Amino acid sequence: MKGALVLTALLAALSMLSILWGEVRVPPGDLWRGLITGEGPGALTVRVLRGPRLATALGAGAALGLSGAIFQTLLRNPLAAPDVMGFNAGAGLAVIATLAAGLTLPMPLVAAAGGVAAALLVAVLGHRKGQADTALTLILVGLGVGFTATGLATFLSLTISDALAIEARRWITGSLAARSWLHAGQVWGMGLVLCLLLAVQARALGLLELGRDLATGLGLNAARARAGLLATGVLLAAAGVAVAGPVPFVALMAGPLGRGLTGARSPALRLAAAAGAGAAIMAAADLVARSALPGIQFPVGVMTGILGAPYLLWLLSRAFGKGEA
Amino acid sequence: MCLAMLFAGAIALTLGAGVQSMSLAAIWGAVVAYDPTDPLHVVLAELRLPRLAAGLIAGTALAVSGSVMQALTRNPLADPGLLGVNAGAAFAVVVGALLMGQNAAWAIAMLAFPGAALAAVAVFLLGGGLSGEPGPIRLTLAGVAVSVLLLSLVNGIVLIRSDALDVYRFWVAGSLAQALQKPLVMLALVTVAGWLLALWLAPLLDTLALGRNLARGLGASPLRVQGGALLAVTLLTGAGVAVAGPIAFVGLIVPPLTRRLTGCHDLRTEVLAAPVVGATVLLLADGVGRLVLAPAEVRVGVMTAIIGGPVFIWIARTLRPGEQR
Amino acid sequence: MTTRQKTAIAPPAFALNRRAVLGGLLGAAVAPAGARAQTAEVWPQRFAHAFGETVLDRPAARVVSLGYTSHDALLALGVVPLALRYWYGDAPFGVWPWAADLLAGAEPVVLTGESGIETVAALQPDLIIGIGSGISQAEYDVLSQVAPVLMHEADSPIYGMGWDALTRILGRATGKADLAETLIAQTTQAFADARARHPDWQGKTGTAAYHFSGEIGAYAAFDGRSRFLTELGFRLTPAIEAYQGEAFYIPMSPEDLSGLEADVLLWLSGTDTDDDLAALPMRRLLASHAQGREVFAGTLTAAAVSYGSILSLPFALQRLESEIALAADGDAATVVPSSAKAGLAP
Repeated sequence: MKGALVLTALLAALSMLSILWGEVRVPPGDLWRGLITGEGPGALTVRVLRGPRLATALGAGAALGLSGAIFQTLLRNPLAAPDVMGFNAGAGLAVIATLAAGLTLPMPLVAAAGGVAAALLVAVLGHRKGQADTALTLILVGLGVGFTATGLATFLSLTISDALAIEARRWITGSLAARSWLHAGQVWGMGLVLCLLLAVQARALGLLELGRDLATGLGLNAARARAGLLATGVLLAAAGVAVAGPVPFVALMAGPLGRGLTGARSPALRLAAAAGAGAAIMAAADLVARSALPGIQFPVGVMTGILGAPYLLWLLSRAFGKGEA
Repeated sequence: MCLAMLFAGAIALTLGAGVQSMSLAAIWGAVVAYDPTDPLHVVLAELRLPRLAAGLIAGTALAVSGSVMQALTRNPLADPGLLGVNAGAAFAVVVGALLMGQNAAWAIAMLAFPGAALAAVAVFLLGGGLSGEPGPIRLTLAGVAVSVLLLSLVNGIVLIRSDALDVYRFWVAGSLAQALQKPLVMLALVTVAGWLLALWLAPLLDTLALGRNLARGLGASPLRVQGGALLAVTLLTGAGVAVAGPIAFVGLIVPPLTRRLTGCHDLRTEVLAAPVVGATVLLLADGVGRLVLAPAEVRVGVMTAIIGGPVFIWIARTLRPGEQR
Repeated sequence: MTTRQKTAIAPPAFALNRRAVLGGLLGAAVAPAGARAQTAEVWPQRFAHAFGETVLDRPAARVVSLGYTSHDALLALGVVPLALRYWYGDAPFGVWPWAADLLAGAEPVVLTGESGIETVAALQPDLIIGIGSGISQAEYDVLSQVAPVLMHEADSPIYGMGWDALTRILGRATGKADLAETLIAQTTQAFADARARHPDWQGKTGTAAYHFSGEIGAYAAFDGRSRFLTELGFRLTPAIEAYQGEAFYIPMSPEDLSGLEADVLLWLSGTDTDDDLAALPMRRLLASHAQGREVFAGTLTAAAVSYGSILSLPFALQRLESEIALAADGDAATVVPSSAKAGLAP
């Protein structure tokens, strides 16, 4: 399929660039030698610095992209993302609370834990006994949890020193600094497990897309399937956040971008495209974040937004240029 | 009516309560025989009255702009911030404070307003204003895109300049303090202008909700009405952000609250009553913020977010299926 | 990437195995070229810190400073860092005026934002200072593969290590422990001398206060900015001493600033002018204001106090001593220049 080839080529190109390009010029020959033999000036760069960082970026991006695509399909809203469920807000609150308490824990893990806690809270509060969970209910509850979490986080952020505030902000923005093969392994491992789970649930996703009543008519326990898919989505987001922090907009953009690039139709292919697109976004954002301005290293989350906005506008002009108002 | 009592209560709270509590008699004494060396009188005249004024202005601005936004986008979840105004103000404040090397309240207010206005104009143009068809979905997407871009840029700046972060993290919490230092008269005039414009447009917006062609048939040009509505939202939100910083939740919750309290169904009555509700909510939040952790003051934006969250959740849980508001 | 170093020390004749250094293997030979003759420093030196232990087997010469303020101590010790971390401000190379002379034309690489590990690695340092940098355990692990990394002590807050402890550790790491002690004594002496010049400051109260974006208050007793005043002989006010909280500041309501009253009220500001502070209603009712006891520290001076490094503190003292003297003289008629300039004078 032509679209898949485009996406694969894009990923390959971004991966190559990510290895070749960085803060410091390292000759490709040295990089190659470092990769193969583990010796020479390129070894540290490839094996310790850029390699694991790229692998983690690709994994986290894929996980976040998948998560966003699941949410967007289930909630029937192109603006839906784990963010809507208060996930990122919970992640941010957890990070600031930990820093304000003076604890030194790995921040991405703290963020993931906070996000999952927020999502659980949304799931619990959004579930009313004896009534079906509507998308609107979940969105409202998600907004509510998000509001409260953001309010508390803002409050705490005013109580810490300015140096600590920089650290807090960095982790809340999402950072791929000093990623190791352990992190890459962690996100790929969790991601693959969740993908297997998703493969089992893919059929249910397709059915749910047709509409709740039709799906139930076709023998699907809609409520349970939906809850299962949302849980998978949240866990995928958590897997991505656990190694990269709550990077914004990847979950939001990956689905539409993947679909736009590959023209995929079926749910399974669309999810795959979203994973690929998410990986590409993350890799591109990381590349720009660490090499755009000499001497300045932005956390990756800064660039996902800057790269994402023009893309959203392009989507806008295309969709409405065709008259799909 | 209950609303009038709440409003009066809010005013009493703002003027009378705080670190220095004042009785009605004391307030009367200050009005009748002002003594500039009496601490109570100074507190009343230079701290609490300006606070009241700021609360009235911001409450009006946010509430009315929320009403117009929700009517314009026909989306009960539309928040004035969706138009990118908060992001625009944030960008202007951060860049301006950095370039000017100061963060005086007056300077910040004078930066926030044009920033908000320019962002709103950009969103309008990008959302199809030029081609004459700014539909609600296009506007929302454009607003999200502009917000994403500007907030990412702000994030980038504050992550590499600690002094910018300090200005930003305090401003973003939203506050009614230091009101005397801000150009209150000018902002009050802008707010009133926006409110009058909204009042005038209200019936036209209601007509537009019937459908574009029908509206045209009834003599209301969609483009002009939408443009006018956006102008009103820009003026109001700009003034609100300039006075108090970006405050969450008020623009979102006050319109439905107003509708419920007054039992009205048309926009004009809503726009008439919204200022009272908005000011009450804001002043009450501010009052609580000043008392709960005295002598420290919790900023009003933080209070509205923390209170707003549970309110949203409560609404979500009490919504009957199929009910939109 | 080239940097000119002020102190050039011959690179080691044998290849340095960084992992061996980290592993603390005592088999690595002690390099005689690095040992200073003043005292018999024992190499390798071990440093216990929050992320474990770092071992140096020779004095460090090529140093990268990742802490926001740690380069001051290095410059004071005569070691120009290969790279340093940018915090804020417009000073060239991120080095503030009180340390600029010690830079003497060197051009260290300035790291902005996240610590650029590739850049650091390319500089081939033999020591990385992570004290006061806020780097995570993960970053520490990766950086340790480049060079030994020093972190803050386990029971000290991330950014809260004292300037004397910091200087001592860096002195030990660069083989200049004696010089470090001398410098610490010098700075301590500067404050003692100031105390001796103004015996009337003993027993008077002083408050280090802040005003930022509508928040007002005083710094807590253990904060370096309050200690600046107590080192000069001032007492802190009862309100501040009674504070039991953990935060480094004590917020006050703009409606009641009486907690700031003191014989010297030192305002530390991030800007050179603060119109909002001048216009603060309740400040004008303070006795400290009416009697001309306020001192205003603008951008540079306040930064020097807040930085709290071995170089910045004497610098701040120099600029503030006469101001504080005028404020504390008990005579309302004497005008404190900084206050007058900032519009705070009665």
